[in-house]
Amino acid sequence: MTEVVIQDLTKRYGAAAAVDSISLSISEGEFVSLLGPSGCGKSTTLRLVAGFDQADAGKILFDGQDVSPLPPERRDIGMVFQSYALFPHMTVAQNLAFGLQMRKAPRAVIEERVARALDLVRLDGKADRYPRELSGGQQQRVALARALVIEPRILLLDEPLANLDAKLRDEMRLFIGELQRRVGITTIYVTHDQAEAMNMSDQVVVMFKGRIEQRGSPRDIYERPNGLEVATFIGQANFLSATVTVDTGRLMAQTALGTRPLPPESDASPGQVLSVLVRPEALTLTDSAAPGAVSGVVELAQYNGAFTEYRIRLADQETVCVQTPGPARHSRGVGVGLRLAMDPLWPIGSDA
Amino acid sequence: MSRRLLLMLPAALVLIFLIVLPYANIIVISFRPLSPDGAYGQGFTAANYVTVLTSAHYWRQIWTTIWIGLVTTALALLLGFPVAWDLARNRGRSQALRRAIALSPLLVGIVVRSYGWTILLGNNGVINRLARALGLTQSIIPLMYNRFGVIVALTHVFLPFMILPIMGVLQELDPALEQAGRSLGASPRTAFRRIVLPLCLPGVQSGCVMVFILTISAYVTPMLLGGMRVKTMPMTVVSTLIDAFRWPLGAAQALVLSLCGGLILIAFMRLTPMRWNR
Ligand SMILES: Nc1ncnc2c1ncn2[C@@H]1O[C@H](COP(=O)(O)OP(=O)(O)OP(=O)(O)O)[C@@H](O)[C@H]1O
Ligand SMILES: [Mg+2]
Repeated sequence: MTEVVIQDLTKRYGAAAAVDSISLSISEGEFVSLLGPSGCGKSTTLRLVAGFDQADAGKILFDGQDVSPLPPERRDIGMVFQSYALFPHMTVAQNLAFGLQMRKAPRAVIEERVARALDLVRLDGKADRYPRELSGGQQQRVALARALVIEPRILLLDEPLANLDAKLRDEMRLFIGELQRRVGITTIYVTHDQAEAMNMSDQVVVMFKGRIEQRGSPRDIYERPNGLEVATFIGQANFLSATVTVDTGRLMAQTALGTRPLPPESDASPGQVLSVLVRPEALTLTDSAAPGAVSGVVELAQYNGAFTEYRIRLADQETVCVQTPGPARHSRGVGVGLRLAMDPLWPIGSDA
Repeated sequence: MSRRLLLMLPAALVLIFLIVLPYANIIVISFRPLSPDGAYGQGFTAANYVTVLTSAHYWRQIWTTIWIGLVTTALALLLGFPVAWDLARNRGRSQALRRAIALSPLLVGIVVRSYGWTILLGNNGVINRLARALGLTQSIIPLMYNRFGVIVALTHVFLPFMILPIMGVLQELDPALEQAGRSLGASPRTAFRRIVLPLCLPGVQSGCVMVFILTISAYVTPMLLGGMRVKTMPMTVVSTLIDAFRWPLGAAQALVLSLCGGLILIAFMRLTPMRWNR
């Protein structure tokens, strides 16, 4: 198991930096996702770690050893590609054996480890199939097994689920997460799907335009995003304008939906106006007459099966998005009451 | 069902009128007796085949033709593969230009290109005169009127037919395959040998088949560069058909050559199986 440290890594294409001086350390056995919109440099980062591209500046250390001068074949990595990149002219077993042959493993060892790896991804019995004879999900598992069978120091995955349909994607998400925990291998997972990143990772690294915007646990990223960009990229977000007040020595945010405390670490000053983050599921809807509720009017109600998403216009003309479980109970144009069940409120920069 | 047949009709008609009927006609003619007053006589005979198959002279020519075909194909592969690789892999601004240059021989007719080579390789050609002017030699370097000249010109003339299919498969090849090989511990050379090469075999195969077929049936180039001193079977076929006006014998000669070429192609396909590629 290996600890990966990235220091001031930069990669330029022409004048533009695809990866702009990023630093990141990943502990042994950790599952880290690189999450960000298309073109933000996730794949480039992964390719630099794998050794397919040379960085213009910075270092990549595996267990303290600088691997920058090493070609990919000497880095001892396992990589899963979006296209799977299974060798079409080799059977499943031959695909898996390839990496072990490169390591000059004896035939008996190869056979035993290939069988074990196939068992691990529940594909025993498919050893002699060619890749094109397998379904997308099965090919995906072969790719995973091929990367793991060599027992690499780190596992790199570049949008491995992007080519699967939604149901299979959920299934594979669980599968990969569980497998990674069982094998305990240091893993870097590239995705632009926030649900994937949130579900599987120990740590999520949010990237924008070649830079790391925030790094933290999935919960940190969701509940305490460090800016507007991260907050809107991860899940749905309402931003309410708030005035900072003080109540018995605590900083409070006074919003259209009520006054709630700010986090203790907040450095806001009383009287300041700022935005606070309110997630849609932190709001509940009641009848307009309910005591303590703020009134609003339903502008839009969208049924999604598991939940209904409302857009509510408040008295001060601000609109908020609300998610409630189950089918729609309030129709368009109807007056409703809103309750905010969130404490503390997370500030997102000041409102100038 | 009948609609499907109807849809197949145009293709079937083209096939029948342009390929099946002419071939059938040649086969029929090859079994006709020779006739002193016309292209061929009535009735059927195997005499033409007996003449061809029992003649050491014809066998030598068939062997020359096939030998030239094999050497030309091998040379075209050796030269064409790196070019196809470069055209498929090295992008950038010069890619279109490099492509145009590599495929430009197709724009000029075979006759013109073959004449071009006679200007270069002739006894009084550019190369010989240059060698004499530079004092490298006083005698004539035999570059033409031999197999060497024929093979050089044929390789040049048919090289694009090797480059195109190989370039095609290389372009289709997912670059991630090679990278997957590298990530699993293969050196660039091993990744090429174990992954890229086997996967571009279909292109290599089509290229070889095309160049081989074109070469063994080539007429103009061997005639111009060989100057009747390198006798290949197509030249004999033409002179039998046109000069001697003996259609049945010419047809038999042509079919025996086709058959020999066909057998070699079958052997070649057998030797390069691609089970995964069904
Ligand atoms: N070989 C290349 N040549 C030039 N520019 C490149 C090259 N590879 C990537 N880039 C540029 O670098 C930036 C980052 O690309 P990268 O592939 O890392 O994005 P990504 O985050 O993986 O996006 P996606 O989610 O679409 O895969 C992009 O703007 C891209 O255009
Ligand atoms: Mg990418």
